[in-house]
Amino acid sequence: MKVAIPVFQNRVSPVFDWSTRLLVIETDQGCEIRREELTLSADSATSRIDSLAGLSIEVLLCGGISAPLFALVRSRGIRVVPWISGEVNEVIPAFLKGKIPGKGFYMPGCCGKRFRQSFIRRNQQQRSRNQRGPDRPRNDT
Amino acid sequence: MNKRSEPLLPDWSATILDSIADGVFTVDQDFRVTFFNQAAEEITGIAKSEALGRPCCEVFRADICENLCALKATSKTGKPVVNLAVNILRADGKRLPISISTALLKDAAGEVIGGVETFRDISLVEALRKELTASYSFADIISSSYKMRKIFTILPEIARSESTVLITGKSGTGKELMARAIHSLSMRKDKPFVAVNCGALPDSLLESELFGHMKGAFTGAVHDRPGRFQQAEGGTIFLDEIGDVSPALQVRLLRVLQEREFEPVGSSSSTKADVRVVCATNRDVEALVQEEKFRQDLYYRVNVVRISLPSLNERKEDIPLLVEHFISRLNRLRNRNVTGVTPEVMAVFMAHDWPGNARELENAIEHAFILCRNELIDLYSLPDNLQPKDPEAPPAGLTLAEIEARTIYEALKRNNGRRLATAKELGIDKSTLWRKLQKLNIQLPEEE
Repeated sequence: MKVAIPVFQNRVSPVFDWSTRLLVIETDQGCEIRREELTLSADSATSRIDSLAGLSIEVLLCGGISAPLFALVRSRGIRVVPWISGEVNEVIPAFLKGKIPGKGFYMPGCCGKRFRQSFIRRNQQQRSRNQRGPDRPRNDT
Repeated sequence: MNKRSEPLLPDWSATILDSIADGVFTVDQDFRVTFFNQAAEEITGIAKSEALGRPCCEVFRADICENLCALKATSKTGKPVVNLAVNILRADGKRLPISISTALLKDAAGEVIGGVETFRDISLVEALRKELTASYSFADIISSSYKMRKIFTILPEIARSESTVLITGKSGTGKELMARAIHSLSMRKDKPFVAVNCGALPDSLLESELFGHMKGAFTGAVHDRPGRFQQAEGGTIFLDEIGDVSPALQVRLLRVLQEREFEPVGSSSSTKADVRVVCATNRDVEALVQEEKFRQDLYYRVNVVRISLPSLNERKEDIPLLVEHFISRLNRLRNRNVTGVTPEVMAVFMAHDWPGNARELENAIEHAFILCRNELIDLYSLPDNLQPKDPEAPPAGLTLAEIEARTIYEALKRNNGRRLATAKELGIDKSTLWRKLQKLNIQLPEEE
């Protein structure tokens, strides 16, 4: 699985829309096997998302993300885990152990399951039953 | 994970700062928040308890945080930043415009111990400005795309000049909206904006429409009638579809642009025209000039400043913004409460070519509003040309049992033959799946 994390000074970047560096982690059976840091295009949101799709990213683990960009990324079949903060070297193991989203990794003002579900519901979380499949994003909360 | 810092200010200072309308916060030398007043809580929607001790970029989430942080600049140079407009991202995913000012924070001994930033929400100011200046300012042109941002950057300068502007772009890309934005940003914004579709009228009518006519100039001209150039006096005239104008009328337009005067039909005396001209076309003007269908001298007169609007296909990142905008507008007009579109609909929108551009998207949303009965617009509400073609749809003429068998077989294939996962996907019990496999004589798919 490939996970992308926009980064800034060794922490998850505050806002994906305006971040300039992307860490791509490749995992296998819950363990990190490879990582690479890339520059994100500043030109447009579409080219930013094309970069993610071109890298076959399956999960975007990010800090803040605007509603339109969230919708765009999701429409490309990429699972988004938003509003995460913390040191990258703490966030990655926590995510691989299934502890993210979780206490201690939320951005200020974005705590709790209720907030996350409300954000995702407001920004088109609903998926029809007919669209479920093995690559359905799990636990987008 | 969270460091909790000691309060930086004595209680009385905090009380005073909590009573003012501007947001105020301080940071230490690691740029972690050490004080956060009440207005800061209200503007950002973040409680003080969640902000204290956190990196300020994670509290504010501003567009300048990573590369152009104002506090870092002040810390480096010692100079304050005053009234810088930035955008921050709220927890609901919406961007909020604020104005910030920064200064160094020093202790009693004059040692720098951190920074202080004040900020205010300017979204109301932005909204009021939009109302006061006109319905169509460039802020109403919904776009965050790089190509459009480049146009926005030069638009105020174009507007302030008196130059004739030629706007090119495919049908539905917002040429009139752009023309109105130019007018509303210009010195002529308090004067009329008059739009004429030059492609909609035959030549004889268009001449009279543009320049007016005198009583008796032709059959039916029972009194003097001012033309659009006169109606636009002091303001702006927008000549849409200028590429469709006949050669004869092109000569008259050339004269207006050169001499700034014209004659109404049937009149022998000239009238001065103090009008700013903005033209638009969706045709290839250069090709028309080559084919001698458009006068070269007129081309050079209208093509003083050129704005080329990208098609919606070239700025697809604007689709979610436009969808949100059209939905909000239709909710107001129709008194509905549609909240958005499903991810499947967004995927269809992003994949579609949009030959009709933003207007086609607006029509699709309006169509969906009629059919949509829920809070979210789904695939079934879309117009026929946007309905996805399902390659896995069963062909016609199958019995119900055959359709059921086909569905179960496809689900088994997707789940690599795993019966428990298949049953879960289909929403049935494992034993029910087993019975159906036996009854319908379904062979497990071969592993790939």
